[in-house]
Amino acid sequence: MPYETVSEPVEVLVAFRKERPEPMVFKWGNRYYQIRKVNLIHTERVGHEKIYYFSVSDEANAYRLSFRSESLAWQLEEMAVL
Amino acid sequence: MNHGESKKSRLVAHVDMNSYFASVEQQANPFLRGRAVGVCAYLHRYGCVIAASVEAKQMGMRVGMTMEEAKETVPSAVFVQNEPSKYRAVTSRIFSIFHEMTDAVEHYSIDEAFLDLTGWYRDAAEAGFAFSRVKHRIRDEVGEWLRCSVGIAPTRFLAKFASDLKKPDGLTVLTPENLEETFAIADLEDAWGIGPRYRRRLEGLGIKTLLDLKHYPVENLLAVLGKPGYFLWAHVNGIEIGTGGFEAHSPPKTIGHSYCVPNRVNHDKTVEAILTRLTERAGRRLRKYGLLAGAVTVVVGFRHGGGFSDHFRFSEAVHDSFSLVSAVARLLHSRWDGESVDFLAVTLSDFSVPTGQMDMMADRCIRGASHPGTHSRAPLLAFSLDRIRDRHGEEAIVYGRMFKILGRDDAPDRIGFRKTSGAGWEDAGTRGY
Repeated sequence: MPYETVSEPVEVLVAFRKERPEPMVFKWGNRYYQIRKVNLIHTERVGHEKIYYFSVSDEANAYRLSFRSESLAWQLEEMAVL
Repeated sequence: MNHGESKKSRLVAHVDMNSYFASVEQQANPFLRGRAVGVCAYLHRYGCVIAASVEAKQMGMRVGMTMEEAKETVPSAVFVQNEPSKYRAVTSRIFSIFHEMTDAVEHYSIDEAFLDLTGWYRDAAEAGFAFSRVKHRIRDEVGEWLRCSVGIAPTRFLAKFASDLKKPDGLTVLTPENLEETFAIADLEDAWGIGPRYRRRLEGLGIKTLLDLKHYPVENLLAVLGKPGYFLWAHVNGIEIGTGGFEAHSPPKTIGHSYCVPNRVNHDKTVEAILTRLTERAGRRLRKYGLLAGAVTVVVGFRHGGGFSDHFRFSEAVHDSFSLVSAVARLLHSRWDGESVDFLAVTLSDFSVPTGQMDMMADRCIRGASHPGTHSRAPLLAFSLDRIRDRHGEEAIVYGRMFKILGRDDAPDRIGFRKTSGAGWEDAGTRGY
């Protein structure tokens, strides 16, 4: 299985660009992860709440971050473990 | 669509996303790019591969293989579970680009669309140029790993045929001038609607290529194959059958959900809970369409062979969960004694539109309720429950019998391999970013 579920809150530094916001760095545990590329963004609704998923990658791994529109919370949903 | 245009000058495009689900997964995770990837319905050895990456196809992986077979064929392959919301979101963004090209876009499936370009472009060459830009826009605006094959031709059939000619990442323009040349070298089964059975019958008539079919006397085809023979002949001769498919979408004829049941569901005794979840999901869609169901069918497959299919016809069409769930439970228990099951399906059918007529016999025609008067309250209650779910999520309020499966991914959301509504995706949360 290439993905491992994490589901843990993370701190995220985001750039609000002209077209869309773009996560730049996130802090998981005591480590900072520099995002090299946002590969895909998709959304999902759970009731009234809209969840934005950011599929991102750094030099070594791929991650999926989520941002919830009601709670304004960021979470690391999963990471690729190839 | 410009209805004033003559049929001769029609221009249709067919766009088919290549290895779609696998490409979206490779788009999301760049470490999967260039690798053999199989997207599975379930990550289980009997889980079916529903999409294979271009690399996996080149190594022999085929859609429809079990994960076990695919692993044997391509030992280096990586398998991921399908994620419908992700694919719907990407589709929505791609289709929004298509809607900028013309006013008539038919969402044929999650990864295919027909566009009526008649009146929007001077000729096929101009349309071809426009669609080479569309391919670039998909890569720039949605994802650089996403590829599509485009066919442009005077009819839907020919456009689909053209898009199939070059995969992946093709762009083929068929015109009356190059049609015969293309047909002469195409295999009969390259055409939409011709499979091994039709091929045998056509070959029996001396038709070896699509060009032979084009020039074959239509009277003979009609005599031997009947109406389908005429349709085949008309298709290869560039004659559009009917309105060409760009008419307004008709309401669905059936709404249903099914699930291949893992054995743990039998151990947990949650068969009825799963069936209730499937029924609730179908009921939600029924109410979103604003329809009433006149009948419900339940199909149950037994793990050790056999099974049953049974249906219930309502005395008066319904759309509330209580009537639907109680009918389904009755159907299940009338033929099921707790055997291990491996398949469950619920289908609603025989649809009608609510008339607003009040039921004078309401107190006597109680469905799914034991007290007089509750009949008329059930639909109102169902709509109230829907509003709660709209706000707080699908399982914010559920039947008690579903308690055991709350939060579990049994009977998860699935992608339907069928024609999709052009009016808007059912999952409202996936329209672009």
